[in-house]
Amino acid sequence: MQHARGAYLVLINDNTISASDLLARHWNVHQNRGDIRQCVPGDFRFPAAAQERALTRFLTQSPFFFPQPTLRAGEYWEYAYVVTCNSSVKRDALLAAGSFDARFRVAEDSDLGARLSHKRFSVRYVPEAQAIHAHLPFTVADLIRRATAYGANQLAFLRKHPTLLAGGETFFGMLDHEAADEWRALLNEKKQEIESLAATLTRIDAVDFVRCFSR
Amino acid sequence: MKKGDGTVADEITRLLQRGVPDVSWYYHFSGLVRTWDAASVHPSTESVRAANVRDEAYI
Repeated sequence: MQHARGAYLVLINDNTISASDLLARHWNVHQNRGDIRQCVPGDFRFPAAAQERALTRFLTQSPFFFPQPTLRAGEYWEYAYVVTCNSSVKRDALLAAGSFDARFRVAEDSDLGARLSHKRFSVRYVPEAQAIHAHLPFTVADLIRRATAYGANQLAFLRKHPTLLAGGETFFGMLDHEAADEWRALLNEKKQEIESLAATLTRIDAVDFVRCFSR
Repeated sequence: MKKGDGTVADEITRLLQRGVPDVSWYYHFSGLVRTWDAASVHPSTESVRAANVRDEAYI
């Protein structure tokens, strides 16, 4: 961010493949709106080959990782919709919000989104700004690795944004010893079931979904 | 391929709708507890940061 010199920033992943008109689509959204307090995510979807495996087929239809599969064009006020896989924002506004927190190796966009949300930024989803999520294969082992990484990050994230604890209403509790005991109890109780489930998902994901299961 | 009232594809889709969040949240809390324990042993801000994974999310 310190080295960027443009008035607007397009934030993408290293596995984002942009459509040929991506920059023009982002540019148009910002030119047509006076309020700079907006973050503009575009579309972000797996390539067609994702349909060949059950897990990536599911992820193309589900908002579990990214909100875009079920999001409609329009304006939102949900911090978690700030996803930097294909988004644009005015550079000055981003810097004024504190830019990215380099401590976060994952969920850095959620952290930024939470801070932008406090400054009353909206999220304007523009599906015409299209990009491909070139991340295949993505396996059950990758799912587990990703979840573990995000979980390890969660403590620092919630300590930085304690209002997200909603006064202890979520399963994160108040991030205290009582909550930690509940997490441990749940992990012990579910260990066998989840390992078995993960093994089942792995077996299903090993075959070509289209050839073996589709009508 | 048919099985019961729906196709096997439908059945697998339903399994993933439940299974992917279940597996993901389980390992999410595993990572959280691991960090919690590390931070409890060395309860400084720096130790919380050090317990954070250093790998990129890469998705």
